[in-house]
Amino acid sequence: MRNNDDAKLRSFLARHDMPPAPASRGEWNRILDAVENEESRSLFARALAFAKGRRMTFVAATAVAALLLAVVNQNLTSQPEAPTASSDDMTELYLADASQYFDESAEAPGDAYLELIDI
Amino acid sequence: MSKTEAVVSADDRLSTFQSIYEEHGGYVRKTVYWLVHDDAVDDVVQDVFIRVWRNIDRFRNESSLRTWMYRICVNAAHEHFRRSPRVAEETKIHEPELPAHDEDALSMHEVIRKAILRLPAKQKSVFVLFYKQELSLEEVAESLGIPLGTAKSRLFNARNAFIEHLKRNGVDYEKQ
Repeated sequence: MRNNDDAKLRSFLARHDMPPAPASRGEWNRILDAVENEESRSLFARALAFAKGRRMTFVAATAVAALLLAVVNQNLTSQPEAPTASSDDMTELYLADASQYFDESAEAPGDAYLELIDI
Repeated sequence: MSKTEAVVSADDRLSTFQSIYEEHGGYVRKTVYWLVHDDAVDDVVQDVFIRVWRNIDRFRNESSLRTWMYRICVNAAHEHFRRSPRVAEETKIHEPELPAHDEDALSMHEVIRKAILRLPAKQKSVFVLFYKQELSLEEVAESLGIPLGTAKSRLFNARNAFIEHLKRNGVDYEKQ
């Protein structure tokens, strides 16, 4: 009985169905742009987390993360045919290089902020 | 991971992502269309695929991709209403913008869509997956990650509310 009612309702809905407006031709590109933004934010968050691990001040960590993100992005876009490593690897590489310019043992006032930000 | 493997992996990921979009984009849009109003369809579809991208490595090992896709559609729609509670309220009086069709069909389609959009979110999800996407109750329960009994109960309530709304608009679906 119930199955019959369900079948009737499905049939009714199917008879009066109309397809939604089709996806615009630019949808795929918009999705790719959104994914790219997502990846950039994710990379930035990882850079910040790394800097936090190195006990940099908030300002220094943010600056380094932004700088490294810009470098990594430029590197990725300037050599589209021959990327040589994953984003993760490159972030680690650049952060490792950059860390020599910071005193990792420094106890700066900004450290407290690092504990508060939600990455 | 070697450099070559990293490149292959990134290409493979994008290629898999594009395949998923091409294969599943159609019914994703259709599902989302029944869950949110017109203005939000594009944004929610985009959100669905961002979620797919985030979890694409898990997708590769997923036996029932379609089931998972439905869950993502429902979650993205719920998230849309959670972010904009006012939108959820406005949905109750929203008049869908529809392309020009036969007048009678358009009118009935409007009544049906409005009745579905007015359902409470959890009931609406079950209703859309069961009646519009024609999943079995077991598949609905699996897609939404809820017990079968809960799915049955929500479907029962959704169906009654939907039919009641039709009746208030002078529609007896059994005679249509």
